[in-house]
Amino acid sequence: MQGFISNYLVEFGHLAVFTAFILSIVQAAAPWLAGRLETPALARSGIMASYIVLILMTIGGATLIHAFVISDFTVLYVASHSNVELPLLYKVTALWGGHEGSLFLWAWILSAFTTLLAIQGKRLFPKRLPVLLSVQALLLLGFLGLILFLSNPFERLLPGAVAGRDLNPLLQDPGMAFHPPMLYLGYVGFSIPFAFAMTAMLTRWETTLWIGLIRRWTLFAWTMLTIGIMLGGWWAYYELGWGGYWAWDPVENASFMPWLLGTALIHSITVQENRRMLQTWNLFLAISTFSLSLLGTFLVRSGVLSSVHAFAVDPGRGLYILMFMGTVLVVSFGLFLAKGRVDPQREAMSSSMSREMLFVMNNVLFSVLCVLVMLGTLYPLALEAINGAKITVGAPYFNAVLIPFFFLVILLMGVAPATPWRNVNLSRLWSRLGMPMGIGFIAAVIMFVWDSQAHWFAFVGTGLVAFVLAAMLVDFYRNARRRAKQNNDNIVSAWFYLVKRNRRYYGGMFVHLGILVIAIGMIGSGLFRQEQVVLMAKGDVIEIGGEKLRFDGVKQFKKDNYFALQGQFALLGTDIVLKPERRKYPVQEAPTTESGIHANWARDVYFVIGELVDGRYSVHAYVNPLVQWIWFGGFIIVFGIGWSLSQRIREKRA
Amino acid sequence: MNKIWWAIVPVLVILFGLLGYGLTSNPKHIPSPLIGKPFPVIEGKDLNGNKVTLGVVNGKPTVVNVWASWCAACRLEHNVLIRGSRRYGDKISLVAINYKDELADAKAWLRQLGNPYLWSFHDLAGRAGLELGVYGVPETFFVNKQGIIVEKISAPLTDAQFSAGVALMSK
Repeated sequence: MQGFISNYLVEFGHLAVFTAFILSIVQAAAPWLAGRLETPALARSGIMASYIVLILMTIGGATLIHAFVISDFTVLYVASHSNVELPLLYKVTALWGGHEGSLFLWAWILSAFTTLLAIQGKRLFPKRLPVLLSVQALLLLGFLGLILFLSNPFERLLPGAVAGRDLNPLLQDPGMAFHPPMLYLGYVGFSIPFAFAMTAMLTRWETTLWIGLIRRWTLFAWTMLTIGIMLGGWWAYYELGWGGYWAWDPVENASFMPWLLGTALIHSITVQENRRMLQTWNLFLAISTFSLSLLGTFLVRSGVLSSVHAFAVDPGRGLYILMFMGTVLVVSFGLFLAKGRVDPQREAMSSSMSREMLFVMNNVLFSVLCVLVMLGTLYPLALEAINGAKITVGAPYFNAVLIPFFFLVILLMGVAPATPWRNVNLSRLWSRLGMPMGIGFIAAVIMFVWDSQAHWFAFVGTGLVAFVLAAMLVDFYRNARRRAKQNNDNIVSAWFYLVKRNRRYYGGMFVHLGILVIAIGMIGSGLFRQEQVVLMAKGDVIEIGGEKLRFDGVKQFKKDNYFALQGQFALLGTDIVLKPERRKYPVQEAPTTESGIHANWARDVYFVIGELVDGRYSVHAYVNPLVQWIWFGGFIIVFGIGWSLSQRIREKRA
Repeated sequence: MNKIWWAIVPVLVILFGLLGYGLTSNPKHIPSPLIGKPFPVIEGKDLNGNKVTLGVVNGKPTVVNVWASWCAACRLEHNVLIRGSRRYGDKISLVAINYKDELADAKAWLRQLGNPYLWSFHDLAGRAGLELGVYGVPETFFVNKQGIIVEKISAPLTDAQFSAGVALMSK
């Protein structure tokens, strides 16, 4: 009996997922049937269904992971993405190393979110929950249909392969192992605001009653997407060996577009919570953000755009995803046009400057940024459709067009927190921002004097970052001093009290701080990078960016499932040795590079070792200033969100 | 003001039109700069040591296929070439460049899978490949009677591509 079970474990998983598909139909139909048959109890069956779907999906996922861990090469997907010698971690993460498994992970995460929503909803919004779960179930059905009928990870390969094809070596990296699940947590997380928006339009649920409920979901999804994007950049930086972390590749843009609109959504939720405005706009943003998540999945999974993430796929799957996405977008935006628009007179806003006005500008800017990214990403496709020309739109377009808008975003980040809601007293605003503006101006001048040859981005960027940092400090100081005066306390402990007390506000400020730190890292590494390509023999010394390094030859060895050639570069004046590697993975016959990096707060010395040419190695050397600030800024952002979310909520029933 | 939301409709239509178009085209298909240029005349030896000249062969439209015994994808397309040579017979010349391959391996390969080619130019050093800008095997050039390259496919050939290429050559 035991042998029987272990032989057919994968079929068991397949069956579980198929059952989940059937149950999702039940979950999707429950509220409508309940209405038809006038048996409200039926609606609740959707809740139970969502729990069971998660259990079934987990069984499916577990059998696949099990097949990877025991290297069961009679499973086609395992045989094409794993190998006996693959380290255990990558055997597990190989689950999402290919098309079929990635989609499965998407659906699995979606079922988990749905269950969490059901648990929350049973307490807080039991009446609307069945409709919410129905929307989620319809989304899940779309993905399960694709998994079960067009890209089945449970498919057998009989007779089994002797050895696996191995995981794409580029993906055998901790950054890459966790990049896809984080992105998916973000993409899928945005399905919750989407489901709320749909439910609101279907059941005439006043936006004001649920907007507070989606704030945490949105923040969580946004954070996961942020981490996912940062991990992708970190991986590109360490693994791809071209000295950069962001290339405006179409697939990177695919994840960046929902991030931009998600950022807009977070801010517009805040406005609506405080001022009960922007209801129509919030519905639109919630729908659009999730639509862009679907678009991101489509772009990555259909192979429509040429990209470093060149995933091969067959056109049937692409067509399916396109049709699924089309259905979701037509239904959701159609519903929006029919029922989503609120009478605009109720949202009248005075035209004078106020914090809500600046929030609206924030939303305009992020939407414009998103449109510009989309334009650059799809432009090659449009041009090809019109006249057959093949072009790529690269970093020059995106940098030139987007960075000025990002500067405006940073400017707002300094002005808006100092501006009160409703109406501003301009002289008071000046008293808050005058000094920071002076500091920003001085910083820009210093930057200009230090290097007048640099791009104008350098001193404008530096000036803006200094301005916002100063404005933030002035704001902290002002609040702390007021609190200290009231309580006869000292300023530092008053500030800590405020930070502990008002977690939402200060959490948000920490996120802003993290963005500024990232901006500093990007100004440094983007504009002041030094780069050399040289041929080096043993004993040669290279001088770059004030650092001297001596080449001490190479070592060759075999490890796990690859062969490595490792260069030894001694950083003179220290006992640090940089060890860039070139690896060869025999099963996939693919080479990869591992850059050798010495990092400190000021700069990264970044070496890549290349081919042997006439007894000398070609060496690509970079000095990248301030790169570590980018990763550090990422940690500050995550901390800030965590801080903001740690505020106890006063739960309201809707 | 509220009517402005209808702008969503054309945006969606354009978006789906584009993506649908994208599905039908292959982003990796890069038209070769060689198309419209004359095929270079290259002299060398075939697998049996006979002198051969790449270019227009026997005054007929010529298909030049680049293959190697170490290339797995070439195995996939081999049947397409065999079918093509049967179908078009002596209306075209089908020749090959055997790219960076050992003589013995190449001959064994043709014995095993069948030989659709008039001859295979033996390009051990990759000299002809360099001149033609070959960057991956298999590749196929379609050359018309005037010696102009009318199409180049940098992937395993399909039957449809073969017929389309022949049609272009005879234009």
